[in-house]
Amino acid sequence: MTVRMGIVGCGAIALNMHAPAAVATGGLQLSAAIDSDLALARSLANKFAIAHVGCNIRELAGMLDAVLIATPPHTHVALAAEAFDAGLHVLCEKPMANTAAECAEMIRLAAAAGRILAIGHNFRFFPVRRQLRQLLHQHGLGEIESIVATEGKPYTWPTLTGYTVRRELVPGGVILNAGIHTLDLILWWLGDPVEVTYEDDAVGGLESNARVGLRFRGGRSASFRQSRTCALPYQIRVIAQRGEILMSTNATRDYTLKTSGSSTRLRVLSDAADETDYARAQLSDFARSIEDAGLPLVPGPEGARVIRLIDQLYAIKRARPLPERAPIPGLTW
Amino acid sequence: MVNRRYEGKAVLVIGGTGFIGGRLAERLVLEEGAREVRVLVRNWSRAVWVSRYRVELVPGDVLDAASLARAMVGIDVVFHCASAPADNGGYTRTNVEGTRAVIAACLAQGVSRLVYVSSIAVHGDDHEGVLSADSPRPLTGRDYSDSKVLAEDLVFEAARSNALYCVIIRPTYVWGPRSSLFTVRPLREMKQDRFKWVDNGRGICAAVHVDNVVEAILLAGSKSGLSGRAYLVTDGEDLTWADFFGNYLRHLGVTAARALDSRSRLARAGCRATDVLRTIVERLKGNPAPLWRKVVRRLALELGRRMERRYMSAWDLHKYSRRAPVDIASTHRELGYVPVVSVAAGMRDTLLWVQDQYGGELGSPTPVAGTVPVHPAGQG
Repeated sequence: MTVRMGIVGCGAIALNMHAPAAVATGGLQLSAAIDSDLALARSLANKFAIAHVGCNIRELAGMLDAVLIATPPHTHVALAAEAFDAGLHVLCEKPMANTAAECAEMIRLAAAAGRILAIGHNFRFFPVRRQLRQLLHQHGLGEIESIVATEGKPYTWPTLTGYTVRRELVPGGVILNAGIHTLDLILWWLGDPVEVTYEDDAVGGLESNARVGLRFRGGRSASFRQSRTCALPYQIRVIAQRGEILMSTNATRDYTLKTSGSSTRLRVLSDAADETDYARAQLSDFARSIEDAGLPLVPGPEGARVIRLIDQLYAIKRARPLPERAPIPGLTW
Repeated sequence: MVNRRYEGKAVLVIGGTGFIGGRLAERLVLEEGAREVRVLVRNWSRAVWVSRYRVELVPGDVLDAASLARAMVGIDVVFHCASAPADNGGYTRTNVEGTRAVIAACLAQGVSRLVYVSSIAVHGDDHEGVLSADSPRPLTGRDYSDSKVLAEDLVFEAARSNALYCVIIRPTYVWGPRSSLFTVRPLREMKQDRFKWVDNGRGICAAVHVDNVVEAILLAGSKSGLSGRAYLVTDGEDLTWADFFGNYLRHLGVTAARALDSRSRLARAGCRATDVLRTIVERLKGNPAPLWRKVVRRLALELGRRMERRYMSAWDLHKYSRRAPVDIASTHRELGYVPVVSVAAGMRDTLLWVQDQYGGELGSPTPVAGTVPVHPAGQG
């Protein structure tokens, strides 16, 4: 069976990541480009030879099995509802939604419609991340004690709607938009935190620099600093009982093994070659879950989990009084 | 709220995603009680600084009259701080045509005031005596300074016709958090041992902290009876460049050994040649281009890089060698300007910002415990 999929939202991520991956993924046919701006839909359709173009899901639902929602997060719950209503399966870009309440609604709608809801945490498809537990075991490192991550570069993403900086559309800035990848990873590896600390540089608007501290059961911890104004190492340190695994945030297979006195660069085995392949892996996983009626690698509740954490972080932000004077830009403390 | 000079006012900051305009928007919304602070956004990804505040981001461009008209609906005061980005048609287009469009939109939308942020560059680079806002504004053939002179002419004309209340602020050399030219660039040059002292740093440092520029802009937009006036703004402290840059060197824990003597004919000729090469590189930009153009541009680029190891632009040489002060008496007297940040306090904050945002590259080897955040890049 070939899954006929439409892309909803023909902006930057559809153009740069999903459409190129979709046309190269077996078991899946990219059948429709859908955008409220029909010109954008047409432009994507022309570029990738997509047969159908439309400005909403409903009008093309008859010729589709599934949709990939690649619009800004404030639109996700309504679009997912429209898709489930039309009997379609949904792969939804991260962030799953703006709030945990919206995520819960999406999960409920998927269950009621009996359709697959997968969330686009494509970084989980990186082999080095999927195989972390095996790596810890294989190198005899023991259990994870803490994770220390940093990530930052001046923001240049060619967003068409500007939603990532518009507080009328999103509840947060760099954490919701980009930090979500690393936070998702931390929750995936360590579970739900029991204690949360948070600082950011927002002054009534959206944060562009933030620091997250998490404590987990058994004394494990994680810290994460992120910026979209300055360069910080794209680095994740997984510190275990008898050594650590160091990986670049963007590394799909490479990592460094550090044990007392030695540091070795290694690579996990994988067939996939570049990042587009992980976009493909995600689409294949989605198509397979539809075919087998099984769970995708990142089902709705997994996408909702990191949003619940981000809700908590933003509650801390909202409780903070505004300063009297404009503070030094970028400082989070 | 610290001041209430803009209480109840709706204001638009053009250039509010940038360095000076961004800080202005921050202060307007948090400290001045403005009812609404709108920021014109040409490129969303540049809005990551100003979007940290409760401002209204409106898409638009100074070269798009319709977007200016939309952005100015219901606005009382317009602050025009936009300058030419490299990808937007060059200085003349953005600075001159953009300013023309801003003035036209202000008139059409019934905006009551315009503050235009110009530059000390309008006074050219061969002025040897005391510089004041009444000093000549010659056209020098340099794209940037000429574009600012012509843009100012448009603003003066609007003020003369009494159609629009306009004031011009001319900052000197603006430093502080987010300053590329007078904070990050010199630090980087020092770190990479490319920094050159001109005349051993004995030139007068007439720099200005961004918060002091913003203070002058805020005064210009709120005081009456000053339409058609232009004001230079500096920190007003008696410093040499050696005093000023010494702070950066101490922060980095390095010394600077390279030197240029502004009286040396060779140095002056080298700086002029560096300028010529830069101009060639700039003028021959663009794709597609015939092969000869690419070759000449490439050669000029390579040669220019080599020259810049020893020299700097003639404008920089002039700036760092000037011994005559910048007179801001009229800025004090008429505008009521008093610096809100001393160089010492501004430097402390600026270096905190550098440590936080550039700690991996430009961090201090001995950060002050308890005040300077430890940068994660410094750990590895």
